[in-house]
Amino acid sequence: MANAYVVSLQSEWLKKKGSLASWMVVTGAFFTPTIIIIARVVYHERLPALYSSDGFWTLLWRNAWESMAIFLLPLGVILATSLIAQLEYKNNTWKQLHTTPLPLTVIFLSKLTVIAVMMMQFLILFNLGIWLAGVVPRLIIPGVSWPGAIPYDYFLREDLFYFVDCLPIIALQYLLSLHYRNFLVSIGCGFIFWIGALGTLSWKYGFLLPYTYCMFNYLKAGVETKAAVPPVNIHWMALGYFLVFTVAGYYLYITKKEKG
Amino acid sequence: MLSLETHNLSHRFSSGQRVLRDINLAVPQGAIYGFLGPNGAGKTTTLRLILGLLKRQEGSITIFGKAFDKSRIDILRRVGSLIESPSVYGHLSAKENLAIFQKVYQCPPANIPHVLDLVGLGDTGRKKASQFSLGMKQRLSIALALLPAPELLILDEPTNGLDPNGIIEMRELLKTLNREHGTTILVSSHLLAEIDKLVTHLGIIHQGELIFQGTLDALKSKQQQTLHIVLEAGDPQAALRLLLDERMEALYTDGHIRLPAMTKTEIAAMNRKLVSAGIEVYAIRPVKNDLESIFIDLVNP
Repeated sequence: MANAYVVSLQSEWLKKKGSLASWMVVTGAFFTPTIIIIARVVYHERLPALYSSDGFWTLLWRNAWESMAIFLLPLGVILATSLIAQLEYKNNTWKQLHTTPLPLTVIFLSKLTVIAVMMMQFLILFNLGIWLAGVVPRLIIPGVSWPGAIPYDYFLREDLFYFVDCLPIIALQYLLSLHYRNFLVSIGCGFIFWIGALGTLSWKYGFLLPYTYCMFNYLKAGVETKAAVPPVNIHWMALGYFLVFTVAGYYLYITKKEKG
Repeated sequence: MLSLETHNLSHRFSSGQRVLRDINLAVPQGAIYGFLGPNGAGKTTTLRLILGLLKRQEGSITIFGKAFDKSRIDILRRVGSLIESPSVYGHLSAKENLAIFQKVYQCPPANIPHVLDLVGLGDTGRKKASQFSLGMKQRLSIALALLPAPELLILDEPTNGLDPNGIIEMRELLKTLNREHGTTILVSSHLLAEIDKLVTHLGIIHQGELIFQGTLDALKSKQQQTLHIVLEAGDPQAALRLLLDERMEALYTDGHIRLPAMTKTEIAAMNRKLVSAGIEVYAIRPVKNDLESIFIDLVNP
């Protein structure tokens, strides 16, 4: 079983090569940092003061995550997860995959693992992008000082939180896109849930919606917003939803009467 | 020794419509088994059940002497398949498509160029499969089926989309695999002429029921039995009376008389008798029953 999982993972990783989802990971990760670099080069007269201020990296981190946590990350996860799972429907390859000597459990888990690894890949590239957004303007604009030590602990902890907070979105989108042949169902539902999450941020029970956790993780940290402060640990909630959606998705997958 | 066997395999769609009824396939080891039937007869449903793509409802499936449900992984390791339309990843090249399955089957990487050459796609380079013609996609799907060097090859309409040259090449390839590697092949098709040139055994399915199963020779012998002569005469009733008086097994049907097969000398003698009796003879022609007419006879009894 372990060997089957490894070979299945390798084959699933090969499948995503050159796919739209894999390109989205790269472009999505560098989109916000590129905007930040351009903005800082354009308004270069503010840079000396900015780079010599305390908490430069933390501020840069929050600037980079602002649009990412609220818009780009949830939408990117919705699209990328749906696209990865839909590769088989789009290419009519479920029947080929289901006639290989792989247990269905392994197929289900290896696809889910690939999506999770892509999420990690995105976070690594996004962190690299944030670092570049700090370093590149200083290299281009003369007279700007080095902004001080990078708070690695803070970055790593926040990365972990964002990763965990995305897991319910991954699991539910995965369930939908495995179950429905028409990718508009999974993407459409994802958009509705995302809009629902945006609309309930200020509601005291908004934390019950599994698509809100990335947003809450950003907003909880003291930014002036109207978002309600969740009375529970949202990261544990995210893990709970992830487990429930994964088990439900697995059950629907293995009990499907037609497998390609 | 049978490579594949189904016992009373039946299936209903969720609407309750029965699509297969007590299918008892018996594919001998080393055979090229043609699975023949008109569109909608149940060929693809049968093959999908055999491969586990559809949930089995009634009956049993045994491959290599093992129950499919209990030994799915072991069985699929030794089976290559192509079901209906091509299934390839459009954003990847032919080689990359095969590399995906080479990992899963854990077969030697050298199998990839080998099967690509076998199906004539050795020179497609980095071209993406989405840019392939239908025929090329079909060839790639066949290459996928051949990749693990399977003992049993299940092909559903493998010549779909292939040009006449491609069909001939595919036939020769399957014959070679069967002859040189002993691969058992179960191939479904509605192309009767193609099946005729390829298979050693045959199963004919119609409206979800297996109406013939046996060797091609058994079918040919059935064909011999059904050879007949058609006689067209000016007064068919008079001609019929005369022939019956001569104790011939004549049968009046659709404006002409049908007689059992006879030699040229017997035909000439019969003609002389008819003409001597004043009956005008317009035509006497032997009707050769090819596989197509036997098939039509079987599905339209």
